[in-house]
Amino acid sequence: MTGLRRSLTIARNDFALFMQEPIAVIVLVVMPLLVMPFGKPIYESALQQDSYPLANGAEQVVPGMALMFVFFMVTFAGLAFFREHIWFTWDRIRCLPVKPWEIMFGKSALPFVLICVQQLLLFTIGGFIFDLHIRGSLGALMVVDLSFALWLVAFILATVAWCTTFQQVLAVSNLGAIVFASVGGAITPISSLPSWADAVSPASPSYWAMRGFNSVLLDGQALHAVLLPVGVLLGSGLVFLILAAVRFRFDEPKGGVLPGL
Amino acid sequence: MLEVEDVAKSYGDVVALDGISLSLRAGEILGLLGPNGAGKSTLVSVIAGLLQSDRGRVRVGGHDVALEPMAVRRMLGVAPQEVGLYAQLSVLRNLRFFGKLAGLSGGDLDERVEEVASSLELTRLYDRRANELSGGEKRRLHTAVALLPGAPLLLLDEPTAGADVHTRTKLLDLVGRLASEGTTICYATHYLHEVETLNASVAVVERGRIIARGSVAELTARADEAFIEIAMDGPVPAVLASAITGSNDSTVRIPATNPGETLSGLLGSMGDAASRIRSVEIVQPSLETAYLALTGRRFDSGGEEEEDR
Repeated sequence: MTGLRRSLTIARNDFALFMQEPIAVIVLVVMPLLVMPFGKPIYESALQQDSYPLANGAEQVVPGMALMFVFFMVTFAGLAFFREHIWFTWDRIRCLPVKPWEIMFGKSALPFVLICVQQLLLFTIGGFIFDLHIRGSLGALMVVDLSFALWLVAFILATVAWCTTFQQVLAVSNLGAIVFASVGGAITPISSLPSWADAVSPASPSYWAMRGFNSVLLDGQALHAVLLPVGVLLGSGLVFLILAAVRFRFDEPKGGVLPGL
Repeated sequence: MLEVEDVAKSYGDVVALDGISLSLRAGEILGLLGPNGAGKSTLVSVIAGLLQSDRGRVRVGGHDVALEPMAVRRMLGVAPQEVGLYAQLSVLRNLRFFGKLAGLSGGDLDERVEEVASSLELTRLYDRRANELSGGEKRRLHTAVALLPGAPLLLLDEPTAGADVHTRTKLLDLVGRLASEGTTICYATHYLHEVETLNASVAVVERGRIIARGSVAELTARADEAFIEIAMDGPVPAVLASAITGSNDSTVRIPATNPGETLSGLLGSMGDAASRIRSVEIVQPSLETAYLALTGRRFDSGGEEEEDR
């Protein structure tokens, strides 16, 4: 059995577990769809005042809410790691001829797929309901979103590597979702952020993702216009991947109180 | 098949393993005996590669655990002390998942799952979720996972802990059969009688060290005297003091070559104090008397150790 097949076996097992109770992830699709109509009118006027007279607010509310809520996937993915320790299955897997990278790759696969599916559903359903016009390249939009998904998976791995209890993961997830979305322009349009935020916004992945989305959705740009945001997202994702690789200890006990276990 | 050389492991100031060495030949069953905290599970974890030792070397089939972990894992079947299963998934799904990770696929996987599940009476439970199983069924599934790879070295850490009589009998039969087919088995347990039933060789682990190693017969021969254990309501009478080998406030143990005759004499000499006797037990020469001679402590029938004060 090849390493990739072992990773797929682990990913399929995680999928089977996910299907036992998919509600937590379904909420990450439903919640932003419920929030979007409340923000759209505000964003519409804000964007129109900001030299986008044809904007209807969907250009901000759909990607903004998608970016904010997808961050809660850190909790779901963290749980998928930590529960293995609580269930004593982590050591069982480690006793088998499975390499550490195969475990990590397998455990990352489902969160990555779910992030992509969540984004796809929100852009599709949200776009349809709220009349989102993609003025630029659809390919460029997908490249930005895919880059953010890869960044988020790397961030998840780093979070799991550095946290020793699930409560720490939960704190990172909640704090990250709100802070990154706030300073990154996912909640408020980048152009409307306070001046002090100029210095900190670039530290947020949401800022670069929103810059990429704005280039496509508001400015009607193509792939070349999103190369910088994509490069920053992939570059910082690589940093988190390295941080995860440096810190991860397969024999480190992990625990904390896990919900529903 | 297994060579452990001078292995040491500490958790901070606590010494879990203190220079343990042992070797096992193919088809041998080693009963690792010792009280809670003696170091049995740590030793099993070091052999399995789950923990790194601070010192020493472990080799499985000639492969160094630290240097060739993948080669070693291909030769191991491990059932750790804690039951490790996916509670929300079915019995069959658990078996197939761990079987695939062990390297089985296609028809081989189907056959092996069927074979192992049959031997532990799990086939009728295939569709049941692991969290719907009884304690004994869970323990059987947990052990079945370790058997899936068909590995030449099996590490079983207290495989019958909390198991019902049926499961215990089933597991002991299976372990004996596997050993007769050539599987080497390292069997950590609290239960002395299991080691005797399996006719295993024994390593008595005490405070991270092996204090005795040999066959059941060899160890029993070291303590060929029976002993009488008398539990009293209230303090032990002075008349028993000269014969005591171990005691706490209300229990005495008296070595006796002819326990019936010795007991008769003791009861006669105790006078009124005999009315305060709560229980009397004659323990014939066995692994238990050997363990008592080695450690000054004994096991009770439930497997929990009773320590002298």
